Amino acid sequence: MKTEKEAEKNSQEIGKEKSFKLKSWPILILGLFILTILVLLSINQVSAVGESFVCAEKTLSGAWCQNVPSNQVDTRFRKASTSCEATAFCRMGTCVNSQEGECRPNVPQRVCQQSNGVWILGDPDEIPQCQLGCCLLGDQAAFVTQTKCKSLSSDYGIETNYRTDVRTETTCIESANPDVTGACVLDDGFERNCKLLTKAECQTLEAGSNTGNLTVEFHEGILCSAESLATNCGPTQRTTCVENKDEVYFLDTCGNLANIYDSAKVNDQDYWTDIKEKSDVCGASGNNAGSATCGSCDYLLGSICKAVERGNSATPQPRYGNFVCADLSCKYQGKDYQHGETWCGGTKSVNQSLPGSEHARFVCYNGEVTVEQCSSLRSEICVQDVIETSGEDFKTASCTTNLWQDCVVQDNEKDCENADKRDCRWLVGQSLLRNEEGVALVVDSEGKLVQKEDDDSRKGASCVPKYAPGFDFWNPESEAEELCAFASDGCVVKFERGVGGAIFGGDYGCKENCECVGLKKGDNMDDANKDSPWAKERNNMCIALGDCGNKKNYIGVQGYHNESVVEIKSIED
Amino acid sequence: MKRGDTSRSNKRPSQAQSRSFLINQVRGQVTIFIIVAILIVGLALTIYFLRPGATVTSGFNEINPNGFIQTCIEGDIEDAVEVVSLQGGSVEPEHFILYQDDKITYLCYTSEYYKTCSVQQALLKEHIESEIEDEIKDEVVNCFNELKRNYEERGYTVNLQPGNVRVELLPKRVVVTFSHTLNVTKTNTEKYGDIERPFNVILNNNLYELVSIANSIIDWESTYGKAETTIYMSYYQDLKVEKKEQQDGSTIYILTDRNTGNKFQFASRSGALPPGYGVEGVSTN
Repeated sequence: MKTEKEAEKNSQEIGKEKSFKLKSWPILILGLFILTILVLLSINQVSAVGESFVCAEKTLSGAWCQNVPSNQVDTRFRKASTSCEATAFCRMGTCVNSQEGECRPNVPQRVCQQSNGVWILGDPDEIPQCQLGCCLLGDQAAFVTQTKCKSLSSDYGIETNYRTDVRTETTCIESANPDVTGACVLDDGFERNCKLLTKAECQTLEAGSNTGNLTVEFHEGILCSAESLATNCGPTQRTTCVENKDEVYFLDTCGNLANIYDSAKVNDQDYWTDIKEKSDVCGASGNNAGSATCGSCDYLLGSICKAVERGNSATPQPRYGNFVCADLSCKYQGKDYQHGETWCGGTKSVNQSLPGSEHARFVCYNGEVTVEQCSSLRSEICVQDVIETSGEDFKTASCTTNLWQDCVVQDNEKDCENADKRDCRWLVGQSLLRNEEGVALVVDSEGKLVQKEDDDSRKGASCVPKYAPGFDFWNPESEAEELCAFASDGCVVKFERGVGGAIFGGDYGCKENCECVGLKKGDNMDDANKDSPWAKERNNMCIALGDCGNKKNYIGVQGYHNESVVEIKSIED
Repeated sequence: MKRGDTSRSNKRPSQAQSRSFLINQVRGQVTIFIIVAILIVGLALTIYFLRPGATVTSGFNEINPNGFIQTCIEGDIEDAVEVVSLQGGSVEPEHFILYQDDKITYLCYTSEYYKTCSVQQALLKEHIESEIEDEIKDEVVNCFNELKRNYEERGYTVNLQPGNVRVELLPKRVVVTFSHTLNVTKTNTEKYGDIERPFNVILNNNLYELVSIANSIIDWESTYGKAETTIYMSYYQDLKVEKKEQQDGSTIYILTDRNTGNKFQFASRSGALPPGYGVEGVSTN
């Protein structure tokens, strides 16, 4: 090995003090470099060093209104040597579709004009055409503009009902009460037919009946199967699902909907008389998933009406009918998750933040698990919380930004581990931060980094990322080398031998910084060890900074730079 | 030929005879196979066309020219709808990201890190309608010409006035209306393409609903950054929203109607985070 040969050669020189140097890096310069970048980021600087950025109306890749280097501009379109926000053609505003009554925020002027929209400077809530109100569409509601309401009413083929007095979306949705329903009895003198309709629908039917002997009566809140109405409709054991509703419903002999399926009430005449509220029927507080007896499903609680295959023992079998509250929970890798639950996971070795590992969020909806990868290179991490309930705990997770960028400049434990501001941890051992003379700082009793005093035995500490970020080290423009170099250090170990040793060829004994090579004062130079505790501590710090150091990746493949992380060189005084 | 040979030949056929016999036998078998195959195909077609509710859709019907147009153009409309649905609303995407061999259009984009995106397609529904119109218009011309030819072959005098094609995304359907007018005369004159007998094709598809959700996600992305998928799935029971994060900070959104399987997928790049401190500035995409 080169370093050993050099050491051997140099050892022939006698009577001179020898020193060994591990790596040397301009630590303070790097610290300043990182701080400068942080400042640049904080003032939202667009340009990068050495590149001229312009606002391109269109880029070569086809994107509209982007701040890009001038070589990415499509020269057939306009450009300006300023940020797009400052230009007339690319500044952001609201694009109004006056025909549909839609207001799209954050649209560059050029993009809006390209689509034949009307561009107005400002947010939608500042624009009169974009003021929202409540659009009632049958038994549904939408919080939209008046023009949009007209357009929606036309699309759905229903009358426009727009209310400007409703100011919030929640109130609007709450006001979307369907018309009262009830039995609409059609009596032609021979037979009393019945349909379960809204009052308005029944009145329309009445207005449309131009035959003299047909009478139409509306009985609010009453089912067609009610005995008192004496219609030709009666109870059955048949059930059905209804579009946009969660529950399983009984059907009467005329095919009209009745109340929510409850096997105990199949022959209960009272249950076939009045329309019951959901809160008054079976299993009102639960989701009744898989229940053979109750069809009170609830999507938000994890069940919905679905058809079953009769005789298939793998699916729940209702006592009557062919529909049941299907369970929407999920099974993933042997564990059960509730409908709507989200939890954290990721690739192999994501807990060790090995190169290539990534966080992910798992989502259970409608009995199906989908995986949402967090941003690559661990620039996002997944965080999870648990909501304690009376039944099973409910997990919620989300991908959130990995705030590692300012860890290394924190000089005290409290700031370092302030989870509201950053994702860092306090690693006791050695300090990355140094004083003006280049001497590493030490930790005082309050967890702050302070100047090292003479004969100071206090240890150092460093603030490092809690989740080591990944770097694009394969990219020639990557900052990986500079960022990893922050953990590099030079340690000058001094050895000496006495006059007698110089004359008679005695051994070198360690004099200063002996711990860097795993020695104590006076130990023989030949026992110097590259894998000393000091070196290991330094390597751990290096690994904690990101995809640094020599390690395996997330699938266990060793890094290609397969040399020792510690290098020993000899230098002469 | 010798007697003996003849007697021998009576007992056993010559090589030429046996080859001829074999060839005839093979031919016979082939003929039988062909007949059986024709019978099977014929039977299958008979069952297909005689089954309840079956209609012969490929033929021309003099009293229902709209049926001919529907049959002629429906496949092209379906194809166009599928292409725009899988490519973020464009037939030929200009600014896109490749995802599983699909060119997916960016509907919101910023090349910068840490920034929210700017909307790239302001009126998405209208854009999709216009894309479908452009994609099918040549075939519409062909279909109407074919319709005219069919009438003429049956001795009609035909006056076809070409019109516009209008595509509308509506709740649960895509409606394509043709403002062409057709007057056909034999003994009487029949007029088609007016309000009473319009030329139109209706396709059952949930693109209207999916595009509305896509617009909402784009508004979110352009205002706050990456959108939250579970909110949409909680509101809409039949909706599945998938979010596929890409290496460069782009996100592919795949919206699926769980009942019909209709999909709409698009890309966005918003709130992208750089590797390291991101001093390179911008993505080169």
